[in-house]
Amino acid sequence: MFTNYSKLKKYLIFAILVGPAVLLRFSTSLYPIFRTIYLSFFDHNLMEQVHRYIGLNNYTSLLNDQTIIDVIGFTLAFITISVILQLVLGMVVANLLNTKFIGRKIVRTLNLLPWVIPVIVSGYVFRWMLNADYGLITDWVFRLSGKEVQFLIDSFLARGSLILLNVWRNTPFMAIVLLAGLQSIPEELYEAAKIDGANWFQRFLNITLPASSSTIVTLGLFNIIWQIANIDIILGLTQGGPGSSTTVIAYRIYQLGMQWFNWGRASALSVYLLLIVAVISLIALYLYRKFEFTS
Amino acid sequence: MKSQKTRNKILLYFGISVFVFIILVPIYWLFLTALTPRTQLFSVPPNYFPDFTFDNFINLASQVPFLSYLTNSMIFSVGAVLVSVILSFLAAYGFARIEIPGSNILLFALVLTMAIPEIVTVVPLFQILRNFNMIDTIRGLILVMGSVLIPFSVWVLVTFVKRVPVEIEEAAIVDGATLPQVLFYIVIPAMKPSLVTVTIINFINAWNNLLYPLVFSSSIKAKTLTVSITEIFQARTPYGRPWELISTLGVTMVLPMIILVFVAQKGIVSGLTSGSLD
Repeated sequence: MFTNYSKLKKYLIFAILVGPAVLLRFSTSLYPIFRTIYLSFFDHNLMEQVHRYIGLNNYTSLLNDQTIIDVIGFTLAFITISVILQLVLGMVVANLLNTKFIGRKIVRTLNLLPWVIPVIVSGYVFRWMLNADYGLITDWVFRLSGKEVQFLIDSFLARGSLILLNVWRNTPFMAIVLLAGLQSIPEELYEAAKIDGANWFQRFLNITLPASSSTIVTLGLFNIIWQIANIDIILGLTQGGPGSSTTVIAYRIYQLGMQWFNWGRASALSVYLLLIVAVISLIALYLYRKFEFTS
Repeated sequence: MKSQKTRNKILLYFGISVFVFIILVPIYWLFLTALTPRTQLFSVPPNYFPDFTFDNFINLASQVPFLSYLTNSMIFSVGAVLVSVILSFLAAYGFARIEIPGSNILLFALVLTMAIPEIVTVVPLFQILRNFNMIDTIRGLILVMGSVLIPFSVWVLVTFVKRVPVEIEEAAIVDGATLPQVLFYIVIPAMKPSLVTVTIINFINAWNNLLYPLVFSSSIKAKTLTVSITEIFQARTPYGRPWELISTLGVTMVLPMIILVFVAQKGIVSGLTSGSLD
């Protein structure tokens, strides 16, 4: 298309078509990142009305703060455990939805629900269900075990609850994508494996998994990044507590920047978060290439 | 052999039941709480069969400017969808049809901005919006949200543009049609299903967005339902938090999404998976 156009005209049409989207997106994403990096070198506090260059002070003082180290540690644990659970359960659900059964269409539709419900709402619902006095799940656990468990007051259980909610919300999304991967695998492969006597688990391990690897990696990547960046889930379920036991990096940035107005430190922590995201992206990109070449 | 088959079938339906149960319990509890009279809400054990009432909806409407927030949410979501879908469609067409050195890298960079955590850009965006006098306006919210939705939309739409056979467009150009005519009469009709899909997914994302209105809105002028629910959550009553009002507002936010999913299940799935599989 447009091959017989003059070079200038081609460039012009391209600029008109692509320009607005690129300009809007870059000016509200790339520019802010440079601005964030710039601000991270300043003691910039909106409340105290200061703006003073302090070099790397924000960076070093963050790393000298044991709370921040804990927050970074919990973020990594939260993401790793969540993503592993989502991939495993997502694969189970995808296989389930790929089998023929009565009502499959409705179940596939229901599968989408956790993902389209506003995160803040599901956060509050889970908080209500885990309520120490009147919660639904608290009641069930009491009936089954005879123990009155205070899910959101104990820090270990609060962390577990956060992961539970995160898995509830994001597994369906993983399942949809993995299901699409499964459906792209030719039926003959499975038939042949069945004839060779491979059981369900062997078929999964030797056919399903390798064939959906690139999908898993691509979506795993974006899913990890979306989950790392999400603060709604914490705002809804725990607000970072008890103490700061369920605070993730993104939520701490929100607190630093929007509640305590310490924009300098918020920016420095943002840069740390960006570095983590960049590392994850590079690893995923590398794995993605590797899979593409081998499959 | 036969008993094995029956056993597998029982196992399958058991698995599906567990799955559906886990998905539906929180949603069921949300709706039930919204319909429970406040006096029956705080009981041990929880009241599984309360007397149903719609009083909570009336109370909600009397305590928060619900209609204003609903209108704001609507304008915000529709606006962000229009900005993102129109700009992304034009860009996707450009990327798919015009070969220019470096255009692939530009596309890659654009899609990669999907990985930028929103929270990282919030402070500078606040300053930008302030400089343009767009703090606490829906215009400002639409602009930043529209921008967030662009990379995903372009990513999906580029693959769909490439599926439209280019020959028809070329023939039309040879016959003297202008580019806007080609887009309007050939490309858009051919891409209608994918455009609808992207529209729906973007609408869901905008409707559910909390961060931007939470940070950039300060009055009834630009607060959305997602902000409103966090404010109701902050309220304390002698019983504790007003869970019946939180749930009632939650239901009004969730219901449009549930309807959308049931109407457009197929489109949503095809949109989510197309970009990742090509």
